[in-house]
Amino acid sequence: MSVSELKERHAVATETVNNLRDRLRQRRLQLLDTDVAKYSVAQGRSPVKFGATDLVCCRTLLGHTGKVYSLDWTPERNRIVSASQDGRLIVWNALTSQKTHAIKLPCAWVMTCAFSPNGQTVACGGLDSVCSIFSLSSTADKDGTVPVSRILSGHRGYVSCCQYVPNEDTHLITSSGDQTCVLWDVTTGLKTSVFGGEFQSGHTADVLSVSISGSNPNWFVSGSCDTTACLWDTRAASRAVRTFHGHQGDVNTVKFFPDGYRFGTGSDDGTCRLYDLRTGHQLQVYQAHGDGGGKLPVTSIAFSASGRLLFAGYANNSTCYVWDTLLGEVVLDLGELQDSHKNRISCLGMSADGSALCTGSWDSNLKIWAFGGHRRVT
Amino acid sequence: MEEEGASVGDARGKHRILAELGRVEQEVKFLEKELEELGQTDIVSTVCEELLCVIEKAPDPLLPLTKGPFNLAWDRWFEGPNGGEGCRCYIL
Repeated sequence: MSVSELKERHAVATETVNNLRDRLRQRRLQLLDTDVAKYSVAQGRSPVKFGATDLVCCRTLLGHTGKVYSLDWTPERNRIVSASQDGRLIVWNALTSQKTHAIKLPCAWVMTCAFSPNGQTVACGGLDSVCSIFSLSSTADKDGTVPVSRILSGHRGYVSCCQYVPNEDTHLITSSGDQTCVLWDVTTGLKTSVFGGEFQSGHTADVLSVSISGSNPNWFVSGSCDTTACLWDTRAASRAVRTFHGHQGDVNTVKFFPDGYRFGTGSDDGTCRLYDLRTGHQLQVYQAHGDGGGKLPVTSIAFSASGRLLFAGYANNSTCYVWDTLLGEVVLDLGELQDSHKNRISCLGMSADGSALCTGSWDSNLKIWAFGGHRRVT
Repeated sequence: MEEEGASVGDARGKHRILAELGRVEQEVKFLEKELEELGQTDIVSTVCEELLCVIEKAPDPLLPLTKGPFNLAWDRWFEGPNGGEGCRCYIL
């Protein structure tokens, strides 16, 4: 076949792809007979009611001297690692507010950090396009410099997000400005799999966030500037299992729902959305009213232990809406509470047992929020 | 020499287009399969029913009303000195 014949065949196939995508969109719309909020109201559910002093800021972690960009809890409850514009990773005992490590990074432009499942190493990445691994048992010099124990290099763009595979200290997944996600073997420093990119179908713009399923660590979701989220199976990297449409702007953050069969997203379009993995359906849109018509970009999200609450940080001074995920309503704004942050909340994380939420802010602090009111347990 | 150069360029171009074509045609197959599966997919209300069940049976330390069992450790944030008088030094 000649080049021009091939080009024609390519054009025909592309047209078919576009038509199929349209038909999929239409067919999916027909299956959207309701959403979570309408269904819950019909089932007689009412919104979660918080008293004025139920959720409180019970710790403020002071120490960074620049904007906090990322944070991660250990699986064993009380420790947090945070990354900041000041070029440091700090490891905290959130219960005592003590800093146990303050690691000066070789590259100050850090965007993400993560704790390993065993809590003995931390990973970070950013504009240097690599993911650096530090052992917490290494000795720091007086400057806080700790030798890097492994560098995961190979991305051709910034590393926006990293997460260790649950229960596997030897594997982690990164997302990047080079439009790919990568599964790494930390012991060898080599790529195990690449998801998307030049030779495989996947995202068509920067990937900003990843989240790995707690119930099935072979699955992870990614969010991208191409306005989609993708579900991947690490055993089959050649193509995303499913692509989730709906957002009208960059998908800045993705987080698995606690049961591992749904996930949430937050976007520049000002909405958070809840998607179902099995059916691919968009279950609910969480859109704030006011604030310029609900168009404030969502920077980060976290679910409470049951999934009933969705915490969402926005790109303005300190707003952190607490959404009732069933009723689709904002039930609280952490930014209105006493001791709230003084600037944008850039990252959120729930402790492993769900008893505390940590927020990180451009005001350089981290805060811990917990339930201090009267709790009724049935 | 120019002719040779042109045909090498053509070969590379053809190779690239063939690879691209393969990818697009593969994508057609995947999308057709997805469309077929959608024909057997539950409507959203079925998923909502499942979601309601999952959420309401899980214990949640941050809710004013939650299923048990209660864990004493949930309240560890309020034990000891309020605010946690820990290290306040700034790293410079």
